[in-house]
Amino acid sequence: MFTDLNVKDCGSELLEKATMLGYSALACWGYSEGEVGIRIIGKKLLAPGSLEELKQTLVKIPTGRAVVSVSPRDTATARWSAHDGRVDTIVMTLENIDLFDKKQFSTMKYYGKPLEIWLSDLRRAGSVQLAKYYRRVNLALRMKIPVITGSGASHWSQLPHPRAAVCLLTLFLDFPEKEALLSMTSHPYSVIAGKVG
Amino acid sequence: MVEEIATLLATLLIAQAALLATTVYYLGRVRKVLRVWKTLVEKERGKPVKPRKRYVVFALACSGNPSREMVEKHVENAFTAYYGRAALAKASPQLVFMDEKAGRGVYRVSHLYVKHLISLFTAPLEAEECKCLIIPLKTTGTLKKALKIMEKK
Repeated sequence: MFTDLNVKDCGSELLEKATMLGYSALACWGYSEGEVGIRIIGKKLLAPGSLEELKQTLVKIPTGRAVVSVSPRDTATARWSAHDGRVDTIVMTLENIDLFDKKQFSTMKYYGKPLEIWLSDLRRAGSVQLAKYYRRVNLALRMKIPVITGSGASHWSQLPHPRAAVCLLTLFLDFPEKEALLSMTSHPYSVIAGKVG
Repeated sequence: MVEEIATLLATLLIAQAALLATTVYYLGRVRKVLRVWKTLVEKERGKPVKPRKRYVVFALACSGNPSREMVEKHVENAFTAYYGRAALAKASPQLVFMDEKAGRGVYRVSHLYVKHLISLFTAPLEAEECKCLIIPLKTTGTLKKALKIMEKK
């Protein structure tokens, strides 16, 4: 039941390879309707410059049709998206990593909001950024916030094998193996389970 | 009377065989536990752990035909970038066998670095208009078993 919550373009070739790798559900930025052996759902990634922009964008998105993720750029947006019920996940990237402090994680824990991280970010991070990433992800895990791992794949060759991804998470971020598995299976699947897709 | 004795003998034989199989199985388990314990004690005492070889069987899903050198170079570069030169030297990953037509191969690596090697398979192999996905199939302790798995799948 492997699930990837962040695939950029779900072409037919990518879907074929995802089936081969054992994925059962994908959230894609762009996809075409068709019969495939995988559950596909749309993904909206919002990176608003201000809180007002986030509110305006959220109003326009129909509820229950797509996974809504917010990559906040300022503290106000980060706090708001943590308690807004229309937002499914909050994305921590290398650009907004400094916004994720103990207070942000406390808010996310209170409202049951999962943290989303991308493997593509992990691969391109330098040592300083990786250290920041490590500390924050471990803080989130200690606070029992569900962490979701997405690939950020735009081509089928960037889609990781789940076992390889679990190994990468355990070695790079000291994820317990069980948590690494959960971040690719039940945590992301519970996000898309209630969606119409 | 004869039938009864034959049945009794057969039952005894089956029970004996079952007992023998169970003993062999549990002896194997005990041996494995003892080996792990010995490794832990040696590690605790600061003794160097004897590196054992592991064979990682993998498959390639490619758009194009990747050569053996391409795969070797990719793994070496990725290993150095992710874990450094010291880890590369200790792990000493070697592509011992590769079937370029079938797109399958076997990597040999130290048992302490199996996870390191598998984690590299998340990095896409992209070179000379050839894009590949590396899929880990199985990790074994002998090359014979690895080759068998490679041919079977």
